[in-house]
Amino acid sequence: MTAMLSVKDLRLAFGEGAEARTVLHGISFEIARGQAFGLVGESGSGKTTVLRCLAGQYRHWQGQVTMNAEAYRGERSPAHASRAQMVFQDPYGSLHPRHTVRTALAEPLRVQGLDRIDERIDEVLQQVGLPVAFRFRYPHQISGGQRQRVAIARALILKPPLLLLDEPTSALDVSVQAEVLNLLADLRAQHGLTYLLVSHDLGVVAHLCDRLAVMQQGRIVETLSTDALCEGEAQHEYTRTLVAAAEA
Amino acid sequence: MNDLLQVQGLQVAYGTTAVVRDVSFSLGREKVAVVGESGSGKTTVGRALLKLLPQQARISAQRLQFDGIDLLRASERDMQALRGRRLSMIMQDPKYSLNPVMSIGRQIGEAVQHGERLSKAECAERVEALLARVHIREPKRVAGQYPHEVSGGMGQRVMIAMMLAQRPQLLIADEPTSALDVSVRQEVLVLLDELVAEQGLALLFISHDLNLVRHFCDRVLVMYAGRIVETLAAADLAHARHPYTQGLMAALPSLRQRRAVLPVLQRDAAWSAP
Repeated sequence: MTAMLSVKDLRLAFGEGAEARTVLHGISFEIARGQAFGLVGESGSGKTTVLRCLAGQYRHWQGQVTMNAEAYRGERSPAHASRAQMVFQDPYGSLHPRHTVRTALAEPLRVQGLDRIDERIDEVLQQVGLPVAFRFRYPHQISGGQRQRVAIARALILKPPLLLLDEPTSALDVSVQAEVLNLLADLRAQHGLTYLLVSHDLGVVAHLCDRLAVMQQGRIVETLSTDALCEGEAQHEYTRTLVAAAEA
Repeated sequence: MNDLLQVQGLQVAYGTTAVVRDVSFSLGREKVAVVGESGSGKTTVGRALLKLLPQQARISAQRLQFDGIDLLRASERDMQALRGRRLSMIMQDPKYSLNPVMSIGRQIGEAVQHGERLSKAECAERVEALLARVHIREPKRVAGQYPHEVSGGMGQRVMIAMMLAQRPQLLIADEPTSALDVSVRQEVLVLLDELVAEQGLALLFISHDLNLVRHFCDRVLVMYAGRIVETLAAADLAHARHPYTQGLMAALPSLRQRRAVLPVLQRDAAWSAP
């Protein structure tokens, strides 16, 4: 079985010499093609940092990363952009307020030098369940859930096999969260996408993911399947605390 | 029963748009939650009670009474005497509600000195006692720190300590734990619980988190489009009658009950009709 993403001994520190502060202490995990993998933990545990390393936002990390059968060393290139895309937590902050939906979606296509821009935009809007007429709207003219759909559309428009999802539903109401989670599940089933989902909400991770890793202070303390988690088979004390808090 | 707070037919409007419509409830010494989606008007209700809304907002009600005082008729001066002393509010994110350029000790000191003259030493002593009261381990050190030097959970405890500097009877907590991590959230909730029990505080707990409210509060008011659509005991949330409450509960992903597709809320125009 080929892994879509394999991360081995990922380390990251900020600062130099005696001032250096290590924030990732050797993170390792593997995600098979078409699988959804969750990273859970508290703020400051380093889960978003892992995503940022994989997206090329932090480039001075150490370790071996293989993505879609190619070694990844932190570069930000068109090739990397069409391999992995990120969806951010806050759809209010991640869309340019003075760009229409069309402008936002056309940008990656232009950078990649792709043709049939309007056709592709219509197609991706349909995929995320937005009316085609939304092309001409500005972010402030659509709701939070719709904005997150636009953000997902922006990530999908280059048809990357891997999506890096950073708390994609935390800024949304439960009713809207359910819609976006269903959309993400459908998209994965239809297009065979691979997800790496970061969330502090075990319920969300359990709903969307097949396997998950629990992070604490820059380390993975436990990796287990969602089934094991829901059966109450978590071994690590910290995972159990999280489960207890989620079930409370 | 003689309730501390009585609200009847509360309406808040901006121009001709009513954002809170015909809200009625009463609150004794208990923990009552206001839940609903963003934009449902829950924060507006909390702020209306303190008259902390922008000037353009028009507040009207048949009755808005706190401990025998008619809040509708109260002047700004009367309100100032009530705010902080008898009616308090804590906000969602301590990062934005604390003064970033003033030490924590001085900020709490201000609340302590509110209407009471104390010597510097007495004030410092009171501040430390308050910090200790909210379970901060090294009150002296923390009093000298600035808000950016403490964590979110500690910041929220500082806010609570500030509120305790006076003896409020009613606390409006607007999403007090939403910005906090699971483990820290529990500590803050335990602290609030203690205060309700020990000081006989009435708590109006504004939240969007149904799971949390279900275990923490006594009663729940469910708001939709500016109205209260259902009032029920927190323990009965699972058996809610209103389709909106049922929809919200069903939309929560859960570890115990795993479903391939989450049911999506089907909104009904009738819910927001008068």
